[in-house]
Amino acid sequence: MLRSKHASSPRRWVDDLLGVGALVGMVGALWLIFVYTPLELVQGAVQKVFYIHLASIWNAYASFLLVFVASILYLRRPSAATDRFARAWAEIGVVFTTITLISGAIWGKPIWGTYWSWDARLTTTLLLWLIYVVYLMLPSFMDDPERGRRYAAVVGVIGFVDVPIVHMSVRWWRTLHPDPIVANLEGPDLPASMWYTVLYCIVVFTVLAVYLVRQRMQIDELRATLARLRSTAV
Amino acid sequence: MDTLQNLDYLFAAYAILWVIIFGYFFYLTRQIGDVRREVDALQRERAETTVARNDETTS
Repeated sequence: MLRSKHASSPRRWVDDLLGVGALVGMVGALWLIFVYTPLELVQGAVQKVFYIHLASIWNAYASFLLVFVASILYLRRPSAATDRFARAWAEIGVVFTTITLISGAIWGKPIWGTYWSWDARLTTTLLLWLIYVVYLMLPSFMDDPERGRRYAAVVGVIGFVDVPIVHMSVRWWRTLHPDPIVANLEGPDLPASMWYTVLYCIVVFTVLAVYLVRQRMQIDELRATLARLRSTAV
Repeated sequence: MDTLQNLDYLFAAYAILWVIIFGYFFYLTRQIGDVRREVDALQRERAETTVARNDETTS
């Protein structure tokens, strides 16, 4: 785990706990996925991609929700801490959306016969990924960093509109992607062992996301310290 | 469909998951290390300058 002599010790303790928890949790997830859950009869072994695919997109949705809330707060009262928080979660959201897109493509090849199809679910998810990549790149395109952060916050608010569209796309349009089997009104349509494993993976990926976000925010805090040191004359 | 078919796709999906997560983790680790080294160097430089100035003032 990362050692920080700059960070206070309770913070380091929390970071270490989250990091070890995420690592042990990931190993536990592999055991549940490959040993505990049964093989799906129709799709076979490749169906086990489902657990990381679903946990990843859940984390991406949650990350972008936090970006949305932090962006509103930033637009109401701009602060460096809110901007750091939003940017860190946006980056994690992009990482998890990348995992979702790649794992979905790999799962799709043997089941649909193609890695990619321009259907509603896949296209809106790719759009989601692009929106938050633009969000992350926007401040570096602007001469005035403050204005860049404000524009990024606007993207963080408007971009979130795509999250419910991604989720509902399989109901609103005809797609290759199956209907939601966990987040639907009738409750999860899964055997208990699969359902517990899905829940476990979501919790573990969330712990991992929180750990990575704290590390990401630490970089921005250190950069701010560096800028302060450089700007103050001796 | 044979239930153990497509194991290579399963392996590829999990391998890519671990590569992305560990790749991102090592990227963050490196960034933290680089910026921290710069902060430490600057703080050391400032401290040395302050000590040198104090010595000049007292002498």
